[in-house]
Amino acid sequence: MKHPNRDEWVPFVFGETTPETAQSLNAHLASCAECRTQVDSWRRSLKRLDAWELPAQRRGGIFSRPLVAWAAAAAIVLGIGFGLGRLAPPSADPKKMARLEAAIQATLTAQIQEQVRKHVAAELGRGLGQTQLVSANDLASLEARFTAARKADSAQLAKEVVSLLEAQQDEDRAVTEAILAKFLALRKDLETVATVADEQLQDTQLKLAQLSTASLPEH
Amino acid sequence: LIERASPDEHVAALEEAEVIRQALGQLPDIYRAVVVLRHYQGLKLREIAEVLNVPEGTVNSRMAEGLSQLSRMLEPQFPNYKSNRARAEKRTREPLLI
Repeated sequence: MKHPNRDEWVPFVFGETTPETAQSLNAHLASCAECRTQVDSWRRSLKRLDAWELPAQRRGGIFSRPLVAWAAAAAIVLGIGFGLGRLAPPSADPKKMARLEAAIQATLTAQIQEQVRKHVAAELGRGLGQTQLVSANDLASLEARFTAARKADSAQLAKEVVSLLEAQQDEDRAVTEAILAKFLALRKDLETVATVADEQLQDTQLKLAQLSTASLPEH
Repeated sequence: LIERASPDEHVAALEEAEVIRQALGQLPDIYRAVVVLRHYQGLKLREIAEVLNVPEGTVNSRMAEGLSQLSRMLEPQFPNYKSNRARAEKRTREPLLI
């Protein structure tokens, strides 16, 4: 008997196959004890996982929403320089645009870093540092990563946070899950902010692009 | 957990939770990530692929391996299922170490 590949059972177990695939896998399962044993054991394990819940869900969370919102805003606003290039009229002097981008990014980066720094300080002041789950270094590292996340798309930010997760050396394994949970919350926030801010951002970018062609001195 | 009827059952539930926690802790990071994202965070497999920036096929193979490893760790801990009783009796019941 030809067995389905082991990986094919994964979407099946989670109910994420097409009805046709589910039907054909179900038919195989009915006649194959070997595959049934494997699928049953996966299902039992998944059921057993319910006996434990994520610490993050019990405790509420490591970072408060303002910090998350600021991190998201930072990532979005820092992307402004890239938008400028696209929005500029084709005749715009590339050197002028580059200088404008650099000036805007320098200003915005400084402002955002200051805001994020304030929020990090506030978080630590509220005693979150005492939980031993998040050290000042973790927060500083997060801050650095967010302010460095120049491309505003969530995929880039996701990579940053995932690499942070991978670098996590904490002995308490639950920390990884807790941070993962916060990352997902962050991602959701980022998407929300991105949707709301997109229109305003485009408007601002357009104005800045127009300004650049009108007000910068010739050189 | 707190809604369980007797103190014994409450303790049993806590012990079970601890076994699960330890098993998840022993799972290598790449497998634990997909299991946690699917089971505890409720993300679809497609969404996990997006979050981790890997192909969906990779998520499926990591999940398959993660669930298999979890099963190998958990089945001997809970030998009261008919389907795996025989296998569980053959094995010595080793405590999970962290």
